[in-house]
Amino acid sequence: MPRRNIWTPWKRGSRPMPRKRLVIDASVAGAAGNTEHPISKANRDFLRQVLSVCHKVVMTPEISLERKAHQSRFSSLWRTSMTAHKKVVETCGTDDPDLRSGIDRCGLREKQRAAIHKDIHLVEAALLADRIVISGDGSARHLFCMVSSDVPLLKSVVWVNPAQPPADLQQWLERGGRPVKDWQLRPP
Amino acid sequence: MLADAARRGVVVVAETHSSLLLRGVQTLVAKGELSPQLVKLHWFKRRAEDGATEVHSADLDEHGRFGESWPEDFDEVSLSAEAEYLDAVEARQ
Repeated sequence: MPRRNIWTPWKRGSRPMPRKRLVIDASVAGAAGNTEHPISKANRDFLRQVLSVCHKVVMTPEISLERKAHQSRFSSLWRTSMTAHKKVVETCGTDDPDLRSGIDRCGLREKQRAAIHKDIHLVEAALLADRIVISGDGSARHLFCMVSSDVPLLKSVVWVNPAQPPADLQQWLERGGRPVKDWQLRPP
Repeated sequence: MLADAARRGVVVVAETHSSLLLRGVQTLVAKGELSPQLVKLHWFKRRAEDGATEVHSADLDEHGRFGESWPEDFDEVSLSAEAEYLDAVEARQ
């Protein structure tokens, strides 16, 4: 199916394209270093696009630790290159007690609650940056969407899986990475 | 050796295509073993229209980072080679 062009082109020369700070999950870096067709190539292509476009990546201590656990030669080279080009935004990462307690009040089963808390740091980092999470974890996305009717803050966060892109991600990045309603964490 | 000479006040001009050499200099700066003030990077590029040489210069910060003014492709060679290899393996599966 042809991909819909849902962005108006960035008007070059009008004003600088906004640089988005993306939160990229370790699952993306991990997959990029493997050869699992077609997921790995999609993740590799996405990371290379981020390197070539002006956007930056957010790195908290927790994300950094996860990265090291999933490190591959490719992801290590990518991170080095991003760092050298001053495209890594190091932040301390902060728990959001309101977000966490809001999710805990949603009546999730213990297994679901544990799963959502495993990835909540990505959303917390995104909320302190430009509200964009890049992750291949579809189960976590589903859970966040499920609770978003009770935790409205989640609805502002875009969550994209590079291996199952809802549209052309390269164009999206090149045109400013603006929020797209359909990609946000909203109830199914 | 280059850093030792620079620290002694020698003006060292090194022409290289090695990203490893560049990374070594960056690492020394990031470790605090070489002042970024002692390093200047110049990228020479032939202009397609008239063949004239363009020079892009960059400084390192205290973390050894050159920022976005440095041409992407210099650093991308290893990444591209790695991606190409992984893509080829993936395509055979």
